[in-house]
Amino acid sequence: MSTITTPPRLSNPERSLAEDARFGDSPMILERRQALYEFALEVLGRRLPGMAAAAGTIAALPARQRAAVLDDPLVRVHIHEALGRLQRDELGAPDYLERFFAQLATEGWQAADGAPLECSLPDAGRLGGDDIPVWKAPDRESPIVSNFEARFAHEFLEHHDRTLSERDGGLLDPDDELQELLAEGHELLFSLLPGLAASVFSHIRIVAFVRVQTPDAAVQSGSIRAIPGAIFLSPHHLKTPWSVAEALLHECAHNKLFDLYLTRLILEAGYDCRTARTIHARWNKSTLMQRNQWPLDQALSACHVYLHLAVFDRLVHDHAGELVDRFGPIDTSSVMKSPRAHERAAYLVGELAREDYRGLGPDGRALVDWMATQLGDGAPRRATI
Amino acid sequence: MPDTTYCLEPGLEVRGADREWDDYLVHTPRTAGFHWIDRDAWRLLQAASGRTSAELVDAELARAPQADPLLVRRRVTTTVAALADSGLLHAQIAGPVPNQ
Repeated sequence: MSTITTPPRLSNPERSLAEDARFGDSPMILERRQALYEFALEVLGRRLPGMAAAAGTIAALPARQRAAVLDDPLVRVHIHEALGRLQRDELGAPDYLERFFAQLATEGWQAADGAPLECSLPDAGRLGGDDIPVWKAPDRESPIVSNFEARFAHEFLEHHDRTLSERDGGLLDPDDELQELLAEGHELLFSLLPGLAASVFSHIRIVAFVRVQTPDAAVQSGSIRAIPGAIFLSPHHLKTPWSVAEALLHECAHNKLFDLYLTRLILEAGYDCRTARTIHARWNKSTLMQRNQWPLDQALSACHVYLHLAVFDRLVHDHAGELVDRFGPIDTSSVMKSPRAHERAAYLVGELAREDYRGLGPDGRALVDWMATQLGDGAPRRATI
Repeated sequence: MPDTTYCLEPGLEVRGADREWDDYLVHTPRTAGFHWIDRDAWRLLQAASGRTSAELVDAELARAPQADPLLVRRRVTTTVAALADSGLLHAQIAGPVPNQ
């Protein structure tokens, strides 16, 4: 059993993480992200005749419905991929994006219906007042759902140039007990950090339970930039409201940073994780799942999450008494990352600042300095090791 | 040495001028890239065509005569280099080009 020590006190952390004008303000980040998507659809609509009508229809939707469509993880996946092809001059004729919108139309989806993935999951559970769908595969076959399953399999299970090996597993349908545990974790998180929880949750649109493992490691929770707005949790690891709350904060914070990547110059132009400088995650072993030499973006992402978890840890410590009655004893198992979060964030801030912040764009450099300030350390400590 | 002047990438499209943002979203058709650039960089971009870095520094100093010329020079040079890296601005050699 791990020892609970008093976590370091941070300087007005929750408010800053949720509201900082440059790095915390979720409504602003989402407004900018939506402007990018609308602009992208306009540009793509001019290049791809097969989707000009869909782009026009989406652009003409009332603001709320337009936001719902452009917030859909599957729509976002397809826009991101099409932008990649546009930049590489590889748009098809017809392009996958045109086929995607044709597929939606075949399924009977209309832009006014809202988010297409959500519309295709009629059996999905709902999470808290955020009304976030919880993945449950529908009884009938759906090309839209299959499309999402294929994306998940590619990013989490298959072996390719961004994964070290093939993994075993898949998406899981939650039973009632698991749904209840998820709801408790969600409630715990919002009780502890109402402002910050609302902020990070606004960056996701689906929660899914999964099993993903290699012979020597397993995913406890995960999210990936290639499937924005989706978070994945392992029921085999997360067994208490405390660990679920921590995992929700962890993965939602990742997604907030993914949105910052779209709206600020966080990484250097032309950044490629396969060739980027690496940072040693000295608390991890290298496994078939992942190396402990993290590419810069992974280290930045971990640092951003550890900063959030350090705040979580501090508040758990401050409010444990009143919450234990509602949510049971604090989880002190090794599943909980927050007790070590401050130390790890401080280490990563120092490492990210090394070599004059090499690999980071101007906003990424400012983000590292800002995170150092939130940790209460002032300027980043230049690591000497 | 011939002077290096700059020219604007043709066909740039911009969004965000009507928003309360501290920057703009710029699209370049040639590279198909989307770039967030701050308002100072946008002003420099607009002013850069046919000018050298030194002329841009002079123009910036004329806008803010109290500013430290060294800092202005550094900011203009850095910003122009970043705009050129992003493909929004191109350096071109003015005047006679030496034999290759």
